[in-house]
Amino acid sequence: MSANLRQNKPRLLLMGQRRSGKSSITSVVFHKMPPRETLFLESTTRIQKDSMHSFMDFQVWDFPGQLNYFDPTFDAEEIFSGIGALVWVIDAQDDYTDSVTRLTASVANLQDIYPNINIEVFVHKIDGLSDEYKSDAFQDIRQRIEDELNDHGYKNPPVSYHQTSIYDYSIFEAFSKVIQKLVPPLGTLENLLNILVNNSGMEKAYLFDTMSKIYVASDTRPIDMEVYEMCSDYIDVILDISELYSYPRSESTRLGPQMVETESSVTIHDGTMIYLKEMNKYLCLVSVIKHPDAKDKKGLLDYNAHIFQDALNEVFARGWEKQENSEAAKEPAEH
Amino acid sequence: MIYPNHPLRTQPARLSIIENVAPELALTAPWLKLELKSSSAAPSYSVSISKSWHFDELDAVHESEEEHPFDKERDSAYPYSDTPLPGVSMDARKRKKKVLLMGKSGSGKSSMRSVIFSNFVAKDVRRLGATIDVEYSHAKFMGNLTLNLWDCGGQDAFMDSYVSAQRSNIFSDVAVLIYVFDIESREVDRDLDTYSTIIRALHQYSPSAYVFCLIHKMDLIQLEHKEHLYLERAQLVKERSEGFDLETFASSIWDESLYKAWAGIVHKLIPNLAVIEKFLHAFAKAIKAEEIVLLERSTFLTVTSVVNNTKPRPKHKAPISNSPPSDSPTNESTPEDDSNPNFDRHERISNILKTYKHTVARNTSNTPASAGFVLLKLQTAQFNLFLARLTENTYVFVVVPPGEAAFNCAVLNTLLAREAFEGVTNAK
Ligand SMILES: Nc1nc2c(ncn2[C@@H]2O[C@H](COP(=O)(O)OP(=O)(O)OP(=O)(O)O)[C@@H](O)[C@H]2O)c(=O)[nH]1
Ligand SMILES: Nc1nc2c(ncn2[C@@H]2O[C@H](COP(=O)(O)OP(=O)(O)OP(=O)(O)O)[C@@H](O)[C@H]2O)c(=O)[nH]1
Ligand SMILES: [Mg+2]
Ligand SMILES: [Mg+2]
Repeated sequence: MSANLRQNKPRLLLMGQRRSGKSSITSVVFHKMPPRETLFLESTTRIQKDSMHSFMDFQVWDFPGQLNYFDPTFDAEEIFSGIGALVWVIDAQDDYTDSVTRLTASVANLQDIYPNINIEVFVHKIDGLSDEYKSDAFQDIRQRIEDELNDHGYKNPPVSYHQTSIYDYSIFEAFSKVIQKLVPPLGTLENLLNILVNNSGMEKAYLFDTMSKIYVASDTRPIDMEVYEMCSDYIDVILDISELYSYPRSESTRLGPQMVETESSVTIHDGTMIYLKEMNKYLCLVSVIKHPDAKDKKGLLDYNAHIFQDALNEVFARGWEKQENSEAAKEPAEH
Repeated sequence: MIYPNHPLRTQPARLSIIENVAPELALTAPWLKLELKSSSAAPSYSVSISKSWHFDELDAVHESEEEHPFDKERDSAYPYSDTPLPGVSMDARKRKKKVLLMGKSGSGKSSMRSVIFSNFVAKDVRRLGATIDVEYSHAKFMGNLTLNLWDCGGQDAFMDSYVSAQRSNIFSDVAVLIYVFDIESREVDRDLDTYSTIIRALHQYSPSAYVFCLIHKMDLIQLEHKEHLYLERAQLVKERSEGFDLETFASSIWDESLYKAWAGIVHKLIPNLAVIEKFLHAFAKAIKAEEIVLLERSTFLTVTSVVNNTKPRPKHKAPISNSPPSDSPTNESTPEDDSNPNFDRHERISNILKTYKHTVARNTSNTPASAGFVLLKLQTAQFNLFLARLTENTYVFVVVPPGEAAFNCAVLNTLLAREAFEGVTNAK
């Protein structure tokens, strides 16, 4: 199964009304666009297909809002076969009646032919809403969709709901949940993370896809948003600083031998440590350690993280991973 | 499915820093002492090296200038006391600098002040109301430098009063005028006329002030128009500046450009930059660092930076920190020294670190003012770097070429230096 992880390219379809925020979501999550710049995005006129190369290859299709997705002139087979998830984006700041109706019609259409598709509803743009309105709208949308689907005769359809906004972590959190359903060895990864966390004094550990900041797995302790934000933002810190200092240097400046993987830690004012270690080309481990001895046990941390890395790469392993790693290891010597 | 069940070790692996330190490096830990040799005849200084750290010239930890006995002593021994160095204004030894923040109402003066000095994040500034008359605040910097900020409300009635009834009060004794233009303003000519009026008043009362013009809210302009719109506006402003020593910056609270502008301003005002830079150079050499950046603790503004290159340095030097050459005679690095092609890296570091400080503050239920970093380390295949507190008011950001042992040594030496310094200040 894991051998095919990269051949099996799940597809994520983003659908919903015009200006609901589909293109903004793909731009922010997969192209690192600063959220404010989405104000300049133009309406999508044809399907935008992005391939994401990561620990697992997947495709993201951003649909134009005005399209009728079940127009007979479309090749439904081409669009919907092999899809991993249908992400339906609803603008919670706008009137969502039409969107809900269209969604249920689509689900009804799909359920007959492709009953295994995950439907993920993003109740989007929640940043502009008061807490009270936010949860009311969320409940209302959920209720309406379930009622309408019931009316169509669908009991327990595979629909999940998320509150999202491109202006905070919620969109990354939601995408993480969507992707995790498509990661075959999730249970194994969680087990490995549990072992790591329990033996290294960690509060919480996440395995992130480095480029998108989607997390592929975490240990099974309850998610703590505070810890999550500090971990997720720390990836930005490391990527952004690395970009500024990774210019090619002459080999003669080198002062001695060093590991090729990126490794970083920061101790903050209250003694908490955030620890990051590159696992392979695509994934990094980020964890939070509140244990007061953390600073002194850095050697243990490094060692355990290294063992975890070996185990992880065996899980994903077979061929491609190992090969790419050894290529990467050669690189510095060539300069 | 078979997945390996690796045992994870629960005993610490042996990997302590000291063991990795190359012996000769550990022993030659750079205990530098910078000493100012004052000479009353000429404003010259020299630096000597001895066996203990001496940071007093780097940073002031005294709360008040007046009360502290050391200050008087130091001031009299201070090389700038009689004749100013070229480019250092007459009152360089007076460490309280009056800074006027002016410009049309709504141009963004209070916003930028809040983002830089009061730990606001950009989206919070919408909460700010228009400033009524003048709002005073002060920002303490290193080296006893205190900026007295006069945020002058920009509505017409106030502006009229600044140049008439309050004229001498506002414009006397000004070290810096920061004038903010809104790039989206529809009344460019009117803005420029107002600016001229202000400049004339400044000329009358503080002819030796520095003037910085910020062409602000550049985030509202699409990328392809940014450059020419900015240059065009900056040119118009220059023509109205009546021979003042003027620098212009494009800025926005939404990106690092604001840090560049304010670092440029602060850089002009730090009193003993020459000493600091000499010190950093010597330190960089000793720990084999490629670059050292000194950042102010709470704003993360770059105070100064040095690059350490083994290439011989040409005799005459220009600063690297900001694109328009400033006339500081002291900066040791030349642009040719700097092999890093990312010339905007310092303002970007400020922005990256300050943004993360906000994340940390938010998630540890702390105020941004009390949140901070003890030590940040980053090791990659291409470079190593760390950020550590150096003095009460500064962080030091050090970049070292690859090599684990040398890196650990650099971290250790910096931390030792800091502890030694803390010992010194506590003893006082
Ligand atoms: N407040 C807020 N605005 C958002 C959010 N996401 C997107 N927007 C804004 O919504 C507007 C429309 O976004 P698009 O991404 O172009 O919408 P779309 O769904 O791709 O639209 P079509 O391509 O026409 O189907 C933009 O102005 C975005 O800035 C969000 O989370 N919060
Ligand atoms: N787009 C954008 N808006 C900005 C920027 N800086 C400030 N603003 C906005 O400009 C508005 C006015 O900002 P203020 O800082 O209150 O303006 P002011 O210059 O202090 O105005 P007075 O106190 O009346 O003189 C605020 O709503 C800010 O959101 C910027 O860089 N970009
Ligand atoms: Mg679109
Ligand atoms: Mg104001």
